[in-house]
Amino acid sequence: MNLLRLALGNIRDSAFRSSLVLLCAALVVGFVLTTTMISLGARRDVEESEALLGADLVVVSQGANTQAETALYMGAPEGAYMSGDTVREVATVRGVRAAAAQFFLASVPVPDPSSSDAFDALLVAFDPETDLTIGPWLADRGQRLGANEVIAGADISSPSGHIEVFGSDLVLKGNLTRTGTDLDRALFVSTETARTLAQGETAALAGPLSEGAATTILVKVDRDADAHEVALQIIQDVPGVSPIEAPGLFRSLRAEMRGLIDVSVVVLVSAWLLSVVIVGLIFAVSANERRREVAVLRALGCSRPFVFRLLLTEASLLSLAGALFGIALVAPGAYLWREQIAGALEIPFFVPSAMRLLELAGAGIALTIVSVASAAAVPAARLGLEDSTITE
Amino acid sequence: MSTQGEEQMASATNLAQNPGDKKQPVLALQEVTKTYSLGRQSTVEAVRGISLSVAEGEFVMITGRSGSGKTTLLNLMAGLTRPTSGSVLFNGEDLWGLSDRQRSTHRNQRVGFIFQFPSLIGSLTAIENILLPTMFAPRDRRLDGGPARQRAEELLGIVGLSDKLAARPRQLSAGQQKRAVIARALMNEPSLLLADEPTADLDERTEQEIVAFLCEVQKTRNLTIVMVTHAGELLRVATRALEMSEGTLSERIHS
Repeated sequence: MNLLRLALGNIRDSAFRSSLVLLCAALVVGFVLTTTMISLGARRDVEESEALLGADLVVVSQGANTQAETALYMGAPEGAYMSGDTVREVATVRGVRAAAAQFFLASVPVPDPSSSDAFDALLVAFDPETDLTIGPWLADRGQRLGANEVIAGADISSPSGHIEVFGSDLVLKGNLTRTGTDLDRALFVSTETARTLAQGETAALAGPLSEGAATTILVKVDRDADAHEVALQIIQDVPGVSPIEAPGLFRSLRAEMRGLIDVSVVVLVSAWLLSVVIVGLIFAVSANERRREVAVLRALGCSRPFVFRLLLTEASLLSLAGALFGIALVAPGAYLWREQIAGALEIPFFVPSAMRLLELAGAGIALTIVSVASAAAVPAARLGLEDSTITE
Repeated sequence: MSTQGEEQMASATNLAQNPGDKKQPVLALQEVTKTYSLGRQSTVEAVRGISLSVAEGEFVMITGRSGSGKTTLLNLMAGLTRPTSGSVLFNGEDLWGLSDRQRSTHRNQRVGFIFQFPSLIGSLTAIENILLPTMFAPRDRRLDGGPARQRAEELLGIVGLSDKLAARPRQLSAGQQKRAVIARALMNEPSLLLADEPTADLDERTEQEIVAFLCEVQKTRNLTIVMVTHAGELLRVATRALEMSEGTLSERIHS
């Protein structure tokens, strides 16, 4: 006989009470996991986009800041163009290590591999020799992007290995790593290929594709240079352009994501508080029902701290079981319905790595046990301190 | 309360042990009062200034109407309830001068308690219930493992439940449950047994069996027993009979 055996017996004998506490614990851990995954997804969405962009600064035509974000994010090409001279001027500004032009050509329909429908992909032209993002990605794999070849975002696939754009047949050279952003639904072609496509009969470009022109100039600054100072220098040296620093590049998106994270936190805290209150009430009611049982134990020689420990052990065991139950429900659910969740929230929903999931689960279990034990502590302490009178 | 015409009531609040008994009292209550609050302004005095001495080996029976304070008195004797005023002494030691842990150890080692209501823990088997007191014993006096189980089995055998070791309380009849509770009360070999209506709700035959068993235990182990009962006919086995009425205690004197 020991405390654990007694606690387990009491849990088993009070099925309804135990089920309620278990459910509350499952809810707490479920909310913790879900909201954390949503928050992580939102944060990673921005970080991945910034990383894939590979630039310290993005230079766009003056007044096109928001459009640039929209273009990168929403797959809608923006319409402010910079000439080849402007690109060259930016490249020569003090502190600029490299400058690469990208040209957002158009939205083009591509087949959705998961259904018979099509979705709009963003068609981007770039110079494989000078590019800061796709260029290094290709170089890492020892590849070159030739004429009539295309690199696609992670969401675009073609069983035949070919993609038709404006009537031209392009060879799918490879897919970029998944970013969880709209860049997963982009097609990257060389400037040379873009010119060929522009000549097609069905070509519907968002703007004129002239020699060296760009909708966006990606800038890498020197290692010892300050991105902010370089941005100021660009404003001073190159008229008609606006440099956007990487942290500010996704400012509006960050604000949107922050809003989502804030809502998630509010929901999480509300659910947590509600669960703590419910568990506290359950234990308060059960403490009332258990006066006789406690009086029996006290008469048999059990001390007040033992009564307290017994009730807390029961609460901890129930919260542990509830947390494991919650994890068992949420983790596979999040994986199976990740697309639906992502669609509903309009952000990527990342199922974390096994290690990260373990960390999250551990934190969720710890929070749940502490919450439930705290909720049970007051009724347990009161019950332990009461006079153990057994009335007639 | 009594149906026996030959008995008289002695009005007294100070009840010493049997006049002929010069032994050191095992249990002594000195001017003990217990008042419960029933709200902001309302109180009820369940026990009113009772003084009582119980000598080693006595079998004291307390009768009285429901609500007269009998159970509260037993709780006070066990050190479960703190008196509003007065002292409860066990072998001369004031129970409320002890810490909670010491008082718990006192109950565990020296006092056996039989409750009026079904008091076996429902989630435990009969033998686990009997073993329960060993769990609360101080480490240096704890009977562990095999010896503890052997003693529990012996006790269940003595009360006629050797075939019910693994039975849950709900699988036992009311009489069997009462006998298991008695076995549990004796597990740590107490010197004082407090029994609160141990025969309530039992048929006459089972009642006789339990009383006979308590008498036997009292004699063979020189156990001191204080028993509360509604059944006046059981008084014949007591060495002393007391009547509780409205929080006061008086001696029933056989003429």
